[in-house]
Amino acid sequence: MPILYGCASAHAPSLTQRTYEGWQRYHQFLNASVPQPAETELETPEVIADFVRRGEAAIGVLASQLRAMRPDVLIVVGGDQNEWFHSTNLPNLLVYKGERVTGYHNIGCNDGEVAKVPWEHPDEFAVSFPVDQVLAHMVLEGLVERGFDACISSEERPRGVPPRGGPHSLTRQMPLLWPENDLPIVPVMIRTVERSSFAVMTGERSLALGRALADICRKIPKRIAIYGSGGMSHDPRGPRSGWVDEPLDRWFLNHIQAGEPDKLSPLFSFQSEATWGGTGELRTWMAVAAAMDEMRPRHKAIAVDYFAARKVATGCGWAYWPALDSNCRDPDSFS
Amino acid sequence: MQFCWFAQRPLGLVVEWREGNLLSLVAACSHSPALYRPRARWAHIYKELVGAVPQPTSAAAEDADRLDEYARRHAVAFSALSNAIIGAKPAAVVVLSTDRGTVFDCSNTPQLHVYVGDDIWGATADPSFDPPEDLGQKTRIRCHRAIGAQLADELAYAGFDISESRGGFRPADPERGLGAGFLDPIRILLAEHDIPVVPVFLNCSVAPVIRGTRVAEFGRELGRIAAEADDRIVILASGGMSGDPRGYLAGRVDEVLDRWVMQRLSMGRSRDMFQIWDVDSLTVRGATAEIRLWLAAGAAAEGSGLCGRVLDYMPFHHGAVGAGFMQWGPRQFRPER
Repeated sequence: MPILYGCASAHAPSLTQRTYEGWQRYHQFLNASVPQPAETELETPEVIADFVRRGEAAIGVLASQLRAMRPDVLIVVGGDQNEWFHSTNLPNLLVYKGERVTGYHNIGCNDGEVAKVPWEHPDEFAVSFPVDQVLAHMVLEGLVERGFDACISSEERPRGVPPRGGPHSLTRQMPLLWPENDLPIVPVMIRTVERSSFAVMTGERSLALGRALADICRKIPKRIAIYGSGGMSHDPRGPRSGWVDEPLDRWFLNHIQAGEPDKLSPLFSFQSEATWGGTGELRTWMAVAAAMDEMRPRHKAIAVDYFAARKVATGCGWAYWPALDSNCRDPDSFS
Repeated sequence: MQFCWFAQRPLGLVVEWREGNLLSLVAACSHSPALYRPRARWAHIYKELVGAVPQPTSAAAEDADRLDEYARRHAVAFSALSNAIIGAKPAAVVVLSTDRGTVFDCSNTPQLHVYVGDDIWGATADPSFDPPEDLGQKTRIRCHRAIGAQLADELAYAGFDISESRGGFRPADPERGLGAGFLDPIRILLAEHDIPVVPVFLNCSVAPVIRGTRVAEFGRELGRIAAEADDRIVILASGGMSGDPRGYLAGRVDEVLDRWVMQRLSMGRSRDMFQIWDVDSLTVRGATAEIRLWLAAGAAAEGSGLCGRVLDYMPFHHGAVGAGFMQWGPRQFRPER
C-alpha cells in the first residue's frame, strides 16, 4: 500500500515547555554566548505564551491527522546528535531494525522550580516504543537494492556521551504524535548536522531517499505514514544561534505547499554557515516531501503554522500532506 | 592521459604546473593469515582455518616443496607490490578492505566507511595463529587525516552514503582494533617506509550488502577523487580471493572464478563482475565475498585509464583462499616480476 500520510515538524526543546521560565532556561543554554538579534527582546512572556499555545495546537493537528488515517506503522526520518552515534562512527544513512527504541522525552523538564535533566530522571522522562522489525528489514533491503548505502543496525548501543538513549528526533516527538507510545515505528536515521565535517548527504540525495522509501512501501500491505523530525532553520549553540533564517524557511514552505519538492534540491548542494547546525535537519522534511510526491505527484503540503522563535533559536514549522486513500487519491475527492 | 593544471596559491599569484593524473597505481592482494606469517606456521594455520572440513583432492598437491615454492612466490609478489607503491611516492595509500567484526558491531554496521584521523591501531598477533609470546602487542599506523577528510567529503557530495570516523578510534573489539585485512598489508608493504594510510571499509558480509554495480560506482568515484586530489594517492585493496576460511567450504578454492575475475580485470572489464553476488551460492560467501574489493579497485583503476596486470596467482589451500596479486598502472607499464 502506498504511504498514506506524511508530516514534518520542528522538535526544538522549548516546544515541550509550557512556561516562560522554561523557555528562558533554554534560551540561556542555547544562546548565551552569541550576540542576539533585535527581535529576541520582543519575545516577552506574552509572546512566549502565544508560541506555547500555537506549538501545542500545531502538533495536535499533526497528531489528529495521523490518528485519523489509522496507521499500522510510522516511518520516522530523523537525525542523531551524539545519542546513538558518536563521531567515531557517524552514518549518513542508517535503518534501525531492533526491537524497540528507548530514550527520554523532555516534556516540561524546564518548567519546574528546578530544571531537570531528563536522563537523570528516568522515572519521569523515560520512553520506549516498538519497532516494526519486518518493515524495517524490508526498508533496509529495499534501500540497498536501490543503490543506497544504508548502514545496518539491529541493536541499540548508544555511544553518545553522556548516554542519552535514543535520538531526540524520535524520543521527543513520538509521545506528542502518539501518546500511547504503542504505534510501531521504523527509524530511518540520516545525518543532518554538518558542523564537524562536510561529508553529509546533499539535498538531492535526501529527495531521492524519500522517493525510494515511497517506492519500497508501495506494495507493502500496511497503512504507512511518514514523519520528518527536526528543522526548520536553526543553529543552537552555534555561531548563528538565535538568528532564525526566516527567508529560507518561507522558501522551503512555499515549495512544499506548491507540491514542488524537487525545487528544494539546491539546498545542501553547497557548503555554508547557513546550513551548518540544525538547519541540516530540513533533510528529513525533504525526504518526506519527496515520498509524498512519489505517492501522488504535486501533492501539496499544508503548513499548519510557522513562527521564528529566537529564544529557542529555531524557525518552528509544522506541515502535513493530507492523507490519501490506497489509490493515492485524497479521500475527500471520492465521488 | 596527461594533463596539467594551474594552481593559485593564496597571498600571491604563483603559477604552479602539476602533472596529472595523480592516480598512477592501484594494487590488490588477497588476504589470509598464512600469507603474512612464516612458512613454519602454515600447517597450524591450515588446521585452524579448515577444522574438520573434508579437503579437496587438489589440496593434497600442497606438499612441502609446493609450499616452499608458494612462500617464495608470495615474497616476490609482496616485494613487487611494495616496490611499486614506494616508487609511486604517494602522499598516502588508501587501503580498501573489510571489517570482520573487530571495528563495527551490530548496532551500526556501515556499507562504506572512511576513517579520518591521525592514526589507528590493531593487535599485531592473533591468538588463533600466533604463539602466546607474540600476543598483546598493538601496531599503531599513521593515517593521513587531510586526504581522508577529502575522500569522505567528496564521496558524500557525489551521492555515496558513507559513514566516517572523525573523533578517534573506538573499535567494537577493544582488544583487536583494526582487522588483519588492513593491518597485515600495511605492516608488510608500507610500515618500514612510514607512508600514511587512509583506511576505507567496504561491507562484504553483513546482509544486506550493496550490489556489485554500486561497488563499482564507488570504486570509480574513489579513483576519480584520487586522480584529482592535490596529493598523489595509491589505492590498495586487501581481501579475497575465493575461499571460505572457517566455513562450510573451508580449504576449497574456486580457482576458476579467481582466474576469470583476474582476466576480466586485466581486460579492463570490471563491469563483467557486477552480477557475481546477485546469485546466492555457497561459492560467493566467505572470503569470496571480499572479491568486491577487487571490483572496486578495478573500477577505480579503469576510470583513470590504468591497465591491470596479474603479478601472480595460486590456489592456496593452506591459506584457505585463492592467493592473487595484481597491479594497475599506466598503459605502458610492466610489473616487476
